[in-house]
Amino acid sequence: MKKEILLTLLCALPLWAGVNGFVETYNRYWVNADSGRWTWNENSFQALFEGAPSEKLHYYAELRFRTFGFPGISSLSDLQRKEKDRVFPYSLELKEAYADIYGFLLDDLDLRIGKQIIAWGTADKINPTSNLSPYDLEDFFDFGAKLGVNSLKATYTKDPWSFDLCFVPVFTPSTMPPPEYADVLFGGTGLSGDYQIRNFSDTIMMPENKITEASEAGSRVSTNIYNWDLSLSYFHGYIGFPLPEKAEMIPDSSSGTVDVRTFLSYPEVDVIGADFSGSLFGLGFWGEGALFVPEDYVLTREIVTPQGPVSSVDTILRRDEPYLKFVLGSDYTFGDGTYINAQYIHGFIHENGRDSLNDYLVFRLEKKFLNDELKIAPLSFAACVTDWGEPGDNYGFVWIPEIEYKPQDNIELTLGAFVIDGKGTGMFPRMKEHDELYFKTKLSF
Amino acid sequence: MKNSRRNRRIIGVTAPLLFLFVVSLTGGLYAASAGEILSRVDQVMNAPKDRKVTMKMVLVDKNGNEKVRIAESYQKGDDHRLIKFLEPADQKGVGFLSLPNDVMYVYFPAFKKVRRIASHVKNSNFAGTDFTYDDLSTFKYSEDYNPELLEETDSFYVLKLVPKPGVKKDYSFLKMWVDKGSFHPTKVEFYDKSGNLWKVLKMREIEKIKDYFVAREMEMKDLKKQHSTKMIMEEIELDTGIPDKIFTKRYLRRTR
Repeated sequence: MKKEILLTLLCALPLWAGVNGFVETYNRYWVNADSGRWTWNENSFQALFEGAPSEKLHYYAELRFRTFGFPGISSLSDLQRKEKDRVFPYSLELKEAYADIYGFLLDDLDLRIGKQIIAWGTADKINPTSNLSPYDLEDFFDFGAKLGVNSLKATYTKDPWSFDLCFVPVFTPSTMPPPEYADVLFGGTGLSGDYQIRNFSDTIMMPENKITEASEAGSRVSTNIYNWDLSLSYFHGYIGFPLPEKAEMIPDSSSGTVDVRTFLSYPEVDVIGADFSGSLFGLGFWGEGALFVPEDYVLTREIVTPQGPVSSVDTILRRDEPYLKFVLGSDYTFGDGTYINAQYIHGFIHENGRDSLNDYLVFRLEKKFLNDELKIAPLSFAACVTDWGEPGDNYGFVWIPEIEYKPQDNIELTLGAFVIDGKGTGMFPRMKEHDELYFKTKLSF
Repeated sequence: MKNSRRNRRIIGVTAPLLFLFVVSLTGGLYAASAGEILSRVDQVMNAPKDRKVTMKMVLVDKNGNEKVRIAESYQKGDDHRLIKFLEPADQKGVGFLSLPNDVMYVYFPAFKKVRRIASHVKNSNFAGTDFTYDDLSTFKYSEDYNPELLEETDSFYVLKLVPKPGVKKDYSFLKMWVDKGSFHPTKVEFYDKSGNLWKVLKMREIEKIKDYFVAREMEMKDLKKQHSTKMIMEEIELDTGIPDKIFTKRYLRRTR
């Protein structure tokens, strides 16, 4: 069925007025693994449909068809499937599809309705004030990537003022990276120290599809004062990453192990945000802060026997204490075209709760050559110290050198690496065996 | 006799002062003249109340390889400009908004948001062309440069423009050829900090549209890189009453 839909869409492509897009391949090789291995194998075709039936109407849709992953062949029958989906695992995804109505009811009121990415904030990639669109963490290294979310966005502009009102009828969770990276980000079960686990299962409980349960909303006001862009925002909704709400442990006395069933849900949160950007002494400056006001989040652990629960212990996983995540950044272009960009980040995207926020420095230096055909970023890294008391034993970094070459318009070849090291229990030390090389090609049309 | 001697003495004393006065007055007139020419240039360059231009930019490298960009440009007065790329595909939708007081924004569709850019980028090349952000921003030469009249021929005034103290430019000075008939520049030479010729801008096909002189073609050559960008104005609309709201972040992020 998928194939028929896809073929229909592909055949219809020339009928669309404005079709752009790109074809991209992306491969990664894990160099630390025993004698090395491929970890990423992606080939995608992305079509961007866009048009304006009238002066006040505009539509946009982004469709991705890709083969992603590795052949999952375990028997001859897998090779005999007409769909060939075990040979080339493929998927079709509508990343965005929305309609714009400009000057709706009022000249200065614009509406955007549909699946869209709502991007707030002035910082680069890490935007603690931007919580309406969930994260797409499928690719751990592409942190900051967002998913489109079904929503209504109304923007009223009276220059220099701008007012955004957003409504998301149904909460959409963030996607997670593959297990080896998910464990790095979110830790394991948190139970392994006390018990030897035989079987583990999890169930995620989504908010009920009621307006009072599953809906999210946000508002933002922006202006420009003395040539500085300023904004204030408010968001009420969910943190996009689930937390365990209940863990049932079922002991097996014969083997001395336990089976664990966890039930996870999404914590509710209010976020008050502010950001600024401007220029001082020729340098660019920006900052963004978000005060997260969570509710108490309690994990209930129960020991369950065939006769029913025999004990129950509640642990507060996250207190209702507000915590502040923020980013401060600056950039500069030197006379020879060398560009530098630095950001100080307090609280990475997956870190929530006052005690779990770490400090990061993200830096990038790049220079273009050959009339912008060649871009080299030799010094691009993210570094973190998780304990300033003993920084020598609690640090980590990822160094991402990259070369991008555009031999002609619309084609981009990228070669780079992720070199990770560190000590302690932070995110980077836990990933230090994940050094990878990557290669991308992207052809736009 | 006494009177005559006294008069001669007065003349003798006042003559050098008079000479100094005349010389200073002449010098002053010369400076005023150069300033006046540059003011006329600014007036001519920014004469239309607004303009909408569809332009084709042809980038040529030292081997003669060409790249083409097509963009729409909106300008109002001398300090509001919006540029949007229509081609090539990988730059479609990229926009640049320049407002007074060096307030500049870019929009990259892939990032879904408008980004403020600081004045440090002013001297960087814009989107691979030989024009800098500063060249594409709107400004008045007379606000940034002190002029000096170097030469006057039958057809041209030749001005030397030196950046005013406190104005940061990558150039030590400019030489500008101004057509005497239209007061439109026809050629500008840009000299680097060492005084070497760095770039040459030529303005061709200057024609009168609605009482305004407009160059239909501009070519910027970077002599160091041996690279050039030809900007061809394919469609020009003047004084159509472009509303102020075009020069806002709201419109920058709009594709059309």
